[in-house]
Amino acid sequence: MTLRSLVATLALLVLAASPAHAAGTGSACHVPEAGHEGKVDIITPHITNGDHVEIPYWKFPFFLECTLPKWQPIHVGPLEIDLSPTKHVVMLWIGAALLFLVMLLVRRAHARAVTRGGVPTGGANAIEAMILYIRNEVILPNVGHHGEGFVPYLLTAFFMILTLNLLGLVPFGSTATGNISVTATLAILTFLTVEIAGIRANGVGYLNTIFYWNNELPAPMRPLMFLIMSPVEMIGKLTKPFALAIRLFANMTAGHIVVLALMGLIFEFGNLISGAPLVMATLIMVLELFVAFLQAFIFTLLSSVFIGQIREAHH
Amino acid sequence: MSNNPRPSSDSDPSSIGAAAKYAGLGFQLVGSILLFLYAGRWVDRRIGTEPLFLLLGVFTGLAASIYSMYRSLMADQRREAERQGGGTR
Amino acid sequence: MRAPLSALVLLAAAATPALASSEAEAAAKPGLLDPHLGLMTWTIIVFVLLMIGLKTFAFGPILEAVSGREQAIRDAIAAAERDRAEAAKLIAEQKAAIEAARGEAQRYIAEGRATAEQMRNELLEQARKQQAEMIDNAHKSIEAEKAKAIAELRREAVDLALAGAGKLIGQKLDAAADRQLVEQYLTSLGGK
Repeated sequence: MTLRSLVATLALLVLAASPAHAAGTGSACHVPEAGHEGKVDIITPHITNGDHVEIPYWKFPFFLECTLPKWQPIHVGPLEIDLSPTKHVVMLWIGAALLFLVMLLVRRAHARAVTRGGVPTGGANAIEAMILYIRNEVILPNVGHHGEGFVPYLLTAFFMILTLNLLGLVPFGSTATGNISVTATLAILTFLTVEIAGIRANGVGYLNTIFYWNNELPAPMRPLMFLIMSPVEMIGKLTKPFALAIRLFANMTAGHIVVLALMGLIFEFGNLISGAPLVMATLIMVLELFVAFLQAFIFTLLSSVFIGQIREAHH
Repeated sequence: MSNNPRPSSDSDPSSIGAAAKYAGLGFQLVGSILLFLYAGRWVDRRIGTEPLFLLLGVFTGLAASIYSMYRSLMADQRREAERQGGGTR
Repeated sequence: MRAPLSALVLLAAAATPALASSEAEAAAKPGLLDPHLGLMTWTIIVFVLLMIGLKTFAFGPILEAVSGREQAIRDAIAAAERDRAEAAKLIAEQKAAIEAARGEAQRYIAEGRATAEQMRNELLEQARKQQAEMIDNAHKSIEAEKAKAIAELRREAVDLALAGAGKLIGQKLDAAADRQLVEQYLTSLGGK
């Protein structure tokens, strides 16, 4: 299959996914009504999920509010899952499609460069350098020997988080990684990866990472320590992904709150003093750009470290 | 061994990695204290010894999580020593 | 303490989905910390698809190409190393060969010199011997000639003397007896 057809299919899919469905199930885009009087909470709607997205528009106020379709929830056993697209679901799609597209382009540039017997230049080279850095300096040294199998998961996690973080900084965008559901899911995926890696690396010895049974203790002490320490071990196991989820979520959300609060100050002042919050908001945005990379990096690094830690437990 | 990473330039990433293991320890501390606190309160309510087991639970949780931290630190140190010993063979 | 607490609840909820749904129903309006099962499902779907897609179409080929490139570089380095080693070996061999050739030449020269010396000595010896022989022969023939000449001379002299003496004493002397006499005389005069 050629790359061109792949890209075309992908683009078609993306196009089909939103407006066609939108038209079919009665979602509509409209110019938002202007002129709210009094205090409006601009922060909460911005950082939480919602059932509409904003798309650029050429007339004032330069965006349309599109209400997303509501689908029938599906039932899986006792669960009722509402798979209707929400703002963050759409951001997930866009981010994934964008990332996939970029990576395909990188791969094509790469393939072209390799047939010429050289290295790619420009952006492809930068992304290749990122891939290689994450793989060679973050993943492989931390997950331990024969860690090649974890590379796709961790690289995907890194680039997906990075893309979603960056999409949150783009106008009309929204930070899917600022949603606890998304970060918790990613953390759960890491948790599952870690535990599966532990089971595969340690076999029955994996149980030692959950239960505490120390044969060096005097015999009567063993059950007592087992009862006290096992919950602690389990909590230690669970708090790692928990911390991952909270860290990513809190970092992404906090930055946005700060930026939005500063922007709110601009309207609050409404005069020349507004320059100060403007400058600060800009600076915070730059910081956010850095944080977007940093948090993706930290998530990947910690996931690698956890995998490595459990793989070399009780050797 | 076709594409191993460079044999540990031992600069930032690995040392960050070593430190990063302890990034979640605070949560573990809080979590285990809370767990034993609630367990103690539950026992208290069952047998009506109001603050006794709750307090006991707090201290047990604290001690247990500190012991757990100590254990993981020691394990890391031992592994590190092994690696050093293995590295200089 | 509330944030970590509710987040703990959330984690537990994520682990036991039945709880999560009731939680989601309880909180109707979207809050910051509410789990949303649909979004979580979407995250898993998108992530897994993305991972498979990226692994198949991007990371796999890119890393393969990179490792191919690394391999090529390593091969090139190894080949260069090998070539260099080979060249060094060749040079060493050549040097050894030259050294050997030089030694051989030296040996030949020395040998030649020795042979020549020997031959010269032999020739010289031979020549000397021949010369000596020739001188010897010459001496011998001279001696013989001389003896012959002396004998001739002596006979001549005897004849002359006998003739002279015969004439002098007017009679022919008895040839044999006289001749012996004269010869005795001559002999007494000396070897010559």
